[in-house]
Amino acid sequence: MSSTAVRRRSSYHKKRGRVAYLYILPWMIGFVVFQIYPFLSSLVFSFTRYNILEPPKFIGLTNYINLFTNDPTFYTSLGVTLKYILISLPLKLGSALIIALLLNQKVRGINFYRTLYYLPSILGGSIAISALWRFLFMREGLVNAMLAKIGVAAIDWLGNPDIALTTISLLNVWQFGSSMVLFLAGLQQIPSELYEAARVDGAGKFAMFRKITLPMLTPIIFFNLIMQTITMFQQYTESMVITNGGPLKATYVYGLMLYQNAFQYYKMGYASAQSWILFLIILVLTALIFKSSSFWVFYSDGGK
Amino acid sequence: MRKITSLLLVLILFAAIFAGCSQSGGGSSTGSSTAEVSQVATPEPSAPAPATPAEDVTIRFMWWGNDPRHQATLQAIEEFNKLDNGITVMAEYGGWDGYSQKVVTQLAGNTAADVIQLSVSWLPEMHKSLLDLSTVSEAIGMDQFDKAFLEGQCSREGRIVGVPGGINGVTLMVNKTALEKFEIPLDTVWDWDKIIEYGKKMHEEDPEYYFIVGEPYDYADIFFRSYLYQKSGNPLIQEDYTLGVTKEDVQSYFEYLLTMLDNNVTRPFEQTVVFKSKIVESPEYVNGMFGARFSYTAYFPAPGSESGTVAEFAAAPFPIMPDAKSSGIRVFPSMLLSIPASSPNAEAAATFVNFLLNSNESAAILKTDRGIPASASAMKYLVDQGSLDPEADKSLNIALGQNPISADTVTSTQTIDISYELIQEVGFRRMSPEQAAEEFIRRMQLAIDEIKP
Repeated sequence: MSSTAVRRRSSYHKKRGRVAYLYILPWMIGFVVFQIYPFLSSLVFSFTRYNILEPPKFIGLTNYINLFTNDPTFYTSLGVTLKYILISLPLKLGSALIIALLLNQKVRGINFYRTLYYLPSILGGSIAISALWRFLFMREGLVNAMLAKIGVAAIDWLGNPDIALTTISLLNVWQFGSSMVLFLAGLQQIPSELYEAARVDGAGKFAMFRKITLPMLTPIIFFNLIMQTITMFQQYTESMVITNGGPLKATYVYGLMLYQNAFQYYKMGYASAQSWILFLIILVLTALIFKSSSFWVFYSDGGK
Repeated sequence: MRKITSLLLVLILFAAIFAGCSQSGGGSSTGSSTAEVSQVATPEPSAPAPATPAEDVTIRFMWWGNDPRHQATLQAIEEFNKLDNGITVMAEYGGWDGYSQKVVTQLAGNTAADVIQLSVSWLPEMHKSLLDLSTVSEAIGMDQFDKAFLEGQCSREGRIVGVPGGINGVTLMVNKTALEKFEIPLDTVWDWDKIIEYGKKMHEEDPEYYFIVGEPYDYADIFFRSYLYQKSGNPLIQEDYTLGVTKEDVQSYFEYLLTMLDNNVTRPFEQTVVFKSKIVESPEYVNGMFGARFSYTAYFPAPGSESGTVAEFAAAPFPIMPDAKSSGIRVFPSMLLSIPASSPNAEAAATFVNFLLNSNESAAILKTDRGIPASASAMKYLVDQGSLDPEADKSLNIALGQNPISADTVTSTQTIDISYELIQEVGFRRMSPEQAAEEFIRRMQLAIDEIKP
């Protein structure tokens, strides 16, 4: 039986197979040209000295060695990026969750508020928003003016190397819209019988949150955690436009260093090496989060 | 009904996408104006004589600037397009941010405009991709420019790669109103000690005023370099790719910087660092709460334009130390107009550059927007018409009278960032002047090793 089935599968499915490839050809071409080719090129460039206007010169592992041994800004920017993520990530996911809980009510006009809270994440790290942030947080800015009204002395939010990174992180946290929407969807998926059963058993609001809401939300938390970590490692527009890595490299995130090396110093090979190191870091971290997920993520449909 | 509304929405979205796609040109920040590109960009057919065998050529001109410059340049281009010479110029312009990256990418991909406005500091990377303008010297009107200036400042490896769009010089811009208020004589011959002395006095009399207005990046560009030139007599990187300054030279600068900060001659860095390259947006600049600025002659506001501040500027000689080994006053092209080597329309491009820089029509429109003209004919025209800002002219003359030097020929794009960072380390008291000087020497050496041919 197997031989005839195989023979029939061969000719019939082969023809079908070929047509299938034709259908996905447009996407395949785009993928190869715009994703695979640059991806592999950057790997090749990372082993060369390349300044765009002259042909690349092969120099082996020198770029990687220089990054780890000769360039203190490499470690500075890694440290700044990690600090940035440690500040923004919990705040962003925390706010997203809290706001999502608040917006998960069948009140009239709730859609208006949902839109309102989602708006900042559409605005993105544009020049206008960054100019706004600078205006708000400069020494004579709005924030200090409001603090003065309650008697607090002016603070250099963007000029003080110890505070600047937190101020920049706030811009990222402010854009929690997309995470919030996912949490909202997750909240609405939680079957209400669970809450009813809990109420019957006499559980209070907080216990319900801890024992029902949070565990049921863990897949969404997991997803948001991965996505936001990956994005935040690559983030640099806020840093570049508001403080340009300053003061004193307090906001000099890894992406900014990469950009400067590539487009201001024309050290394309060096920047490519940097980008591959970033890739490996994100890969390892993501794998770790995945590994840990079996301990804390609960899939109600029994999925793995 | 719902199907129709959703279909309509999809159509509107498509229309919006295509409308957005069709408008190109312009860039980020100030000065991007897509509307005007479409106005000028329609090539005018050389209608009058269809029988003329002259091939009609369309060339592109790319520049950076702010709104006044864009308006003036577009007007000049319109005047040129009216001439019946078969050449039509299309405009591409935007702000300063991201401009050099755009040019480098275009040069690498051979899609650069036929005439590009460049900064002299980009030449180390770009000069190999630029045309030697001596091949089109007649068309470009090269005889209007000072030969020594061209060979000294606009060439690399013996090839003249650009013509100067204007002349710039290091200068001290003083705030006349403030100086009068604090009874500081306007004709002071400044040196570094007087800056501290008057600076201390000004701040003590009125704590809202700080004598020198500036921010660390500004200082790295003008203040740091000129001071070091005066101390060492050499450019930062010498022609033979060795360092021109010693650790002691650099340390003395950082010590002076600390003296300035300790005596409140300039604002603490915590307040000014957020205005990197944008000190003109700071409240103290706008409200004229300062005495002077280390600056370039090109920063004098053009007569009749918005200066963005209540301060009234006057020209003053840049401070020079008594035992200076060099004046440290760089006089150099404010910008260059170049033609990429790959351009197929070199002659046409040269003709346009000639019009833009040398003709009277253009001089009447552009005036001193790109700096004081380097072209002899344009300069003569402006002087005859009385269109030169007296203070800007005076400041250039002062600079020229102070034994000026030319811009560095060997530069690294990393120099300014290294200087900027270490100035901040010292200013924020994270490093001592000696440590910072050592670190500076170390990093500059690494940077030089990377650009050594």
